[in-house]
Amino acid sequence: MSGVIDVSRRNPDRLTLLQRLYIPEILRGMSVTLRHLVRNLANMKRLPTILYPEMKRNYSGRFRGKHILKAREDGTLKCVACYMCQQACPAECITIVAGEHPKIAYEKYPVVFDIDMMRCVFCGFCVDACPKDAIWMTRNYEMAFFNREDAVYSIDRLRETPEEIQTHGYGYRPYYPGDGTTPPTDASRLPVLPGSGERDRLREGNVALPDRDLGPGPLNAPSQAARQQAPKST
Amino acid sequence: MAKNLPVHSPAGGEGKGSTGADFFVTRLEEMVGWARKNSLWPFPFATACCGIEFMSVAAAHYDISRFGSEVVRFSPRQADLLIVAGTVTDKMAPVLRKIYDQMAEPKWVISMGVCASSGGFYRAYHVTQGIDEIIPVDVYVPGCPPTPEELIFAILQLQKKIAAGEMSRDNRSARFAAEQPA
Amino acid sequence: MASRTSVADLDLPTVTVAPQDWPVLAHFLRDDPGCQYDLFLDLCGVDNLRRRGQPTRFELVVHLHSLSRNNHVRVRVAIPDAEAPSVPTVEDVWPAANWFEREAWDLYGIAFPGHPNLHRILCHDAFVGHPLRKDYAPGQRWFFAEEDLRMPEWSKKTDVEVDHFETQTISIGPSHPATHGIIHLVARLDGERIVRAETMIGYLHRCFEKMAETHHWNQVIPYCDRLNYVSAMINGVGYVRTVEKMLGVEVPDRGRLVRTILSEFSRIMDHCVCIGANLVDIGALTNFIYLYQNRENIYDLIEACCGARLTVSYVRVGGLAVDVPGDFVPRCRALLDSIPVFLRDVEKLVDANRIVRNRLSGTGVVTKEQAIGWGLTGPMLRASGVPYDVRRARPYDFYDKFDWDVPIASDGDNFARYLVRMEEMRQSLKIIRQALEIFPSSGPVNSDDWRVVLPPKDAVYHDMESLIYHFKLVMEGIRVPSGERYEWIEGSNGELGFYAVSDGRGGPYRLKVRPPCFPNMAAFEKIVLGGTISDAVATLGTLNIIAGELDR
Repeated sequence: MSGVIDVSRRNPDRLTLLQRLYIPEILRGMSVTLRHLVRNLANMKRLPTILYPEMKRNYSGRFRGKHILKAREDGTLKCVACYMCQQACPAECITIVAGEHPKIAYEKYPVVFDIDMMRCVFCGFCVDACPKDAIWMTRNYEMAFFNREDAVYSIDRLRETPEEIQTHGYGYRPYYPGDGTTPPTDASRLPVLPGSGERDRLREGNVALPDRDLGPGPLNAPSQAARQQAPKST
Repeated sequence: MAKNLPVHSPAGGEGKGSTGADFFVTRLEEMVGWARKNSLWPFPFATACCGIEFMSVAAAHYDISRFGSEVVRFSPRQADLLIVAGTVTDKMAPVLRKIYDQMAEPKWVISMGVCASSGGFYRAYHVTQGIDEIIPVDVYVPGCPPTPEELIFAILQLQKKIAAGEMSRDNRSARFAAEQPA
Repeated sequence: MASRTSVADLDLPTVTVAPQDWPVLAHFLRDDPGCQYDLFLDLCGVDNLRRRGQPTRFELVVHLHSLSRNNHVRVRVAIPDAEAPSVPTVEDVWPAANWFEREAWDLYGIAFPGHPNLHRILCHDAFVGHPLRKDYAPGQRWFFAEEDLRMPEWSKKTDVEVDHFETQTISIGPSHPATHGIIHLVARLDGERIVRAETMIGYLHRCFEKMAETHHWNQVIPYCDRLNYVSAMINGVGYVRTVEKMLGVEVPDRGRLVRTILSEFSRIMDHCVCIGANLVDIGALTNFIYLYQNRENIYDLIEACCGARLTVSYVRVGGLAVDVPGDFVPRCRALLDSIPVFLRDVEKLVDANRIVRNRLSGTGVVTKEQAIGWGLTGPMLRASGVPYDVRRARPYDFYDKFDWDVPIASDGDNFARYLVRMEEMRQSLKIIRQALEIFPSSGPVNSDDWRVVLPPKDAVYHDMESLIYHFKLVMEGIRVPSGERYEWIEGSNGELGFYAVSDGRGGPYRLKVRPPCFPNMAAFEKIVLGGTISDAVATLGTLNIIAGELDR
């Protein structure tokens, strides 16, 4: 039959006399193991053993380790508490409580953002789901806990710190340098619009809600084509 | 000498007086802790995918025998570290409990992976939501599966715990020994 | 984006039958020369409580294969009685149906009058209710104590047999160094010989099918990885192929080639673990270390692609999660050079070794007729002389473009299975080498259909329409049109099939995995009869039982 190999014909049932004597086979086998031993002793650098914790394996830039929450230039978290990562997570390990941010360009912010590391399966779906480039993963895998309560990471432990990135490095992220993706505009760079203090004024007193004219502007996410045109003066 | 050992005594801890006997006892505890932490013989209770990562730890690339675990003992009588690697279902839970009970003191438990620690993403009708429903756990390791380095990191954390003198959560035997008439 | 309809795009022919006619049809399907459906693949229940347009609440869906005519068929048995559903057993027609019918009883409560051993198989024995029914809450657990375990009836009585010596019944497992994964074999021993055996499984029943019903289509992919966890990529590929066929979505050639290459590497990894663990059970410890080197090297490649070593979650419906890194092809070529070195070392240590031959040759023999009757697939079936490989029988993802061979053996013993696996690893390397020749250096890996695939991040960050597609896909899941589909691929243990039923929502209505280990394990208790315990241990190693796939 074409395309089919019968492997049992290659290995006769009956071993030859030399094989049945067994001592030659032992020597043949030991030549294999001794060759490995001698080669490793002669060149200790080619030992495959990774002497953790002194040596660490060089994982790739796509490694799915501990999550970090990215921040804007002014220090606020990029996360707008849209709940997409919570919905995408198959383990339901993300807990978000949204709060209203006084700056309209930010709209919402997470009051609570907890990831239960004891439920997280490190699949990266949260990174895929985030539309604001707000959650990345690092190459940090060094987590071990003495009790389960310690494993719920809240914003203070998830926030990106330069020390963590220096020690471990970035891992799985929504885009990689050089693949042509432009990150989203940093909302802290958006101009302060007239009337942006209206939320605070609304809270202070009985001010009727004005009609909001949702004309063109950065808050309404113009398409690429519209942005090519000259910006309208407000 | 055994009868004089206090129940909890952190390494380098407070001696009751400045008599030479107390200082000697504390140093003995340190040495015992050092010997114990560097000769952990694991019982790999490998049920699922974490078992395969444990096999990676035992293989050439990571080599758990560097930490004293040259042999993995598949008999609970001969092991002192129970590594629960993988999901524990409700059907397997009595087996795990039996294995834990059969191990001799001092014994420690590492819950490897999120399935063993909390049920992981299996919020389901047949999965135990964490082995601490059944047995006391010393170190929880997140990850699905944890990388081999993460497990070794957890073993190092456990070694710190052992060196600090915590013999085990279930220290009835130590209390029993302490209560014996001198 | 024109969809090309070929024969491979059409669903299987389906026959609907009433329960009382099912045994007659079964005999006809097996025996009639025009049908000859001799390989029993799968039997599962479906609960139509939440599904519109179905005549009965419960139905049984059976998949069969004809080896001579290379043809699949589906039979639907519509069960009219919703209070006490019952279907006559076909265990006498296909012995492989035995365990599948037990599973349908366990998970759905469908009774099979005439079945010799209708007890729970996956859930524990103190379980109340039938969990895959739609009115069963996914998280409802029951307490199980050790004394609730149901031991087989025959194990409780002692038999005074030959020469007035008592036979002894022992339990091998569930926590045992030689049971890979957790399997419980209750064996009655006469001295060292096993005279009666029964396997009890379900110790890793992690409710995959219920979890699939409560998640979106893409969220099932991490669960799929944990089925056959030693070759995680293959499960994901099988699952997304089923969904893609239901949607009519085409994956670009580059994406399909990446899936093929990584599936073949996963197959090599699986066989490394199988052979390594098998030889460890016999006592040959060195090979395990050498074969694990292979695994670690492949882990490097897979981790560079997707970020995780073992549970990859790399596929998505419509393609892959991310594109492969720039050095993918050189890395693969380096692996093609390093893997055969270790394989040659293992062969030198093992092939002519007298002890290995004595342990593996002649033990665990499965004849051709037995293999087909027991529903075996994969290396188990091929080592008994049947050249059935899904990659050859119904090629997918470029397998028909490559020049490779299907290894078979004629002896059907443990050593034959070892040889078949070693040769399969070499054939996988051959396939990968040819795939790298035609691998496009650039191009998309995902389909461009944004109703299925998440739009590229550049578009999501800057374009409103893409953001809306992204939002709908993440929040609601992929809208798969109502219908059903069975798609099958060659897993490392045999035919891995996924039967998916959709009702138009964002997640599966029903997802059944056809696990290749399941009939293999069912055959185990018959293979070990008459042999010693040591033979049973060697046989269990060559079966390559992965409990994640066996118990789901």
